[in-house]
Amino acid sequence: MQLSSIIKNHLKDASLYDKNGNKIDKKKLYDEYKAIKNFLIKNIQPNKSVAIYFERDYKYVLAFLACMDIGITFIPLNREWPQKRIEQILSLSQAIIIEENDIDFTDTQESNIFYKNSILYIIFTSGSTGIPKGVKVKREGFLNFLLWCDNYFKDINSNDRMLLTTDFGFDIFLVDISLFLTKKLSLYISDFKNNVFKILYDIDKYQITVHSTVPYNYSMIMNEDVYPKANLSSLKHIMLGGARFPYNLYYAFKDKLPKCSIYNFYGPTEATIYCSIHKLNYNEDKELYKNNVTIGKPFFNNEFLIYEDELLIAGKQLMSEYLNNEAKTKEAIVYLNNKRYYKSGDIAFVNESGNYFIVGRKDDTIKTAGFRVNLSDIDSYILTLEYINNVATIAIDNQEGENDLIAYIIVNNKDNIKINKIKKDLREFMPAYQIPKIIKIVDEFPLNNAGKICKKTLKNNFLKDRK
Amino acid sequence: MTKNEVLERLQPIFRDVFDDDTLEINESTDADDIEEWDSFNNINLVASIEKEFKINFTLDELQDLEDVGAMADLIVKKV
Repeated sequence: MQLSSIIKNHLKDASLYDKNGNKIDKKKLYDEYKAIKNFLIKNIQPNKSVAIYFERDYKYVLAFLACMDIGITFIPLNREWPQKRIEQILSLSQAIIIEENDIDFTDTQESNIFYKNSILYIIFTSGSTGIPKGVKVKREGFLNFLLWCDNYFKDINSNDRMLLTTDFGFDIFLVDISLFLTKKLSLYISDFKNNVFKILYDIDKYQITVHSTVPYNYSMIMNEDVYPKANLSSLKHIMLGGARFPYNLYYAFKDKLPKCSIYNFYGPTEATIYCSIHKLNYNEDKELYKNNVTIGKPFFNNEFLIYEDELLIAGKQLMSEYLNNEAKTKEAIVYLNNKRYYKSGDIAFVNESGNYFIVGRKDDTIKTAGFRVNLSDIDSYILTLEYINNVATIAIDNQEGENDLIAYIIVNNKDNIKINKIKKDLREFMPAYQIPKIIKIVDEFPLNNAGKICKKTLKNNFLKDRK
Repeated sequence: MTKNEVLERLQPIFRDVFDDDTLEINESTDADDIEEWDSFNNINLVASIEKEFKINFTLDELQDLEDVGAMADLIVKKV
């Protein structure tokens, strides 16, 4: 019952702001919360799951807290998603969809009914086959994450203010929820929609002290066209994760925000939000390796093992399984010495100080000109040229049974860079077979829902252009 | 400068930023109409407009620019 009592105790005295920056009256908040709970208890059978289709605002937070409290498995949906994705998720999960309009907000009786379902929520990842893959996350896994947050962030407290910019539907919003529940900080729901100026405006207006997001947003904030407008002086903690921490962002933080605590989080959805962390201290020898920023060490009750170069994860935060997909579950979960591990697919390295580094993806290893190369390695090498800001290398089947390497790059100053010069510079430290056959300068990369570079789109675009 | 003159000067900027020579903008054009109008291109757009009109937007002005019309009104006010 621990999770339920944490939620209930906090909500009676919570500081939650709606998307317009208005603080919700505490009694109103708790009444609305009880009304959502009552609706769920009356309408949802214990063995059913609920798909939350609320508007992006504070009531969304109340809805999944109500599900957590009762112990109803929930699936967060996003109204911005394509209709087809939502239909697929509903049909795969057989979940009951709920909206604000369904709820009778006058029904504010206190109820004490608990279903205690062991699966807390199901998050859908994109899945390589085009059909979303449902990750079933355990209540006990989330509780471990929550307790870890409470224990680790000792210098965050009820005076802090956090801006929630993450899409509901992407599990890292649960970082905000965990700090809201354990530290009792003020939580501001931002209706940030692809306008990074809105984040900056909110940070300044509400004097935000804590922000958790994907690295990409801070790459944009540190952009020379944006940064001069920003006032980030209120920020004390910036927590980044969900994608690779860019090397040049490391130096941007070192230069521009040396007093702010910057964290690099790591973890697949299958290991409940995040399962390792590193707080930057700008000790380059210890926290950088081949242009990768360390992901630090696993949280308590989580364990890392490097097996055949791949990072395996064990411990309390491991998912139960993929929804209705035994084959995929069997591929992903292995037993070694009777211990259950999740195969992350990430190629990892651990240094003498016990810091872990992700240096590539297992499925990024391809053959070209008879050699095995890892595409992430190539990216790391190319990034050592200081005029290159970001890179994504893909492999394209050249129809002769081999792969050609194609690198898409973003450079500091397009006008002064010639492809031949880049190739010449790369030849100084890379063997010929590792140098991409084609290098294309682009302004930006296609991103997926999680804010990561979508190499699949790059590949499809390349193939389209080739025809 | 009139709003129409501003819109005329915005047209080539939009075509350049979104890399589409056939793009036609009007006052009601917004991010939903242009698929490529994401966070990154939004930054490029703002930077290009500031350069073209030699103005500087504040965060307050940039945080909820609804559409091209609102953008043009703002530019008229600032130049």
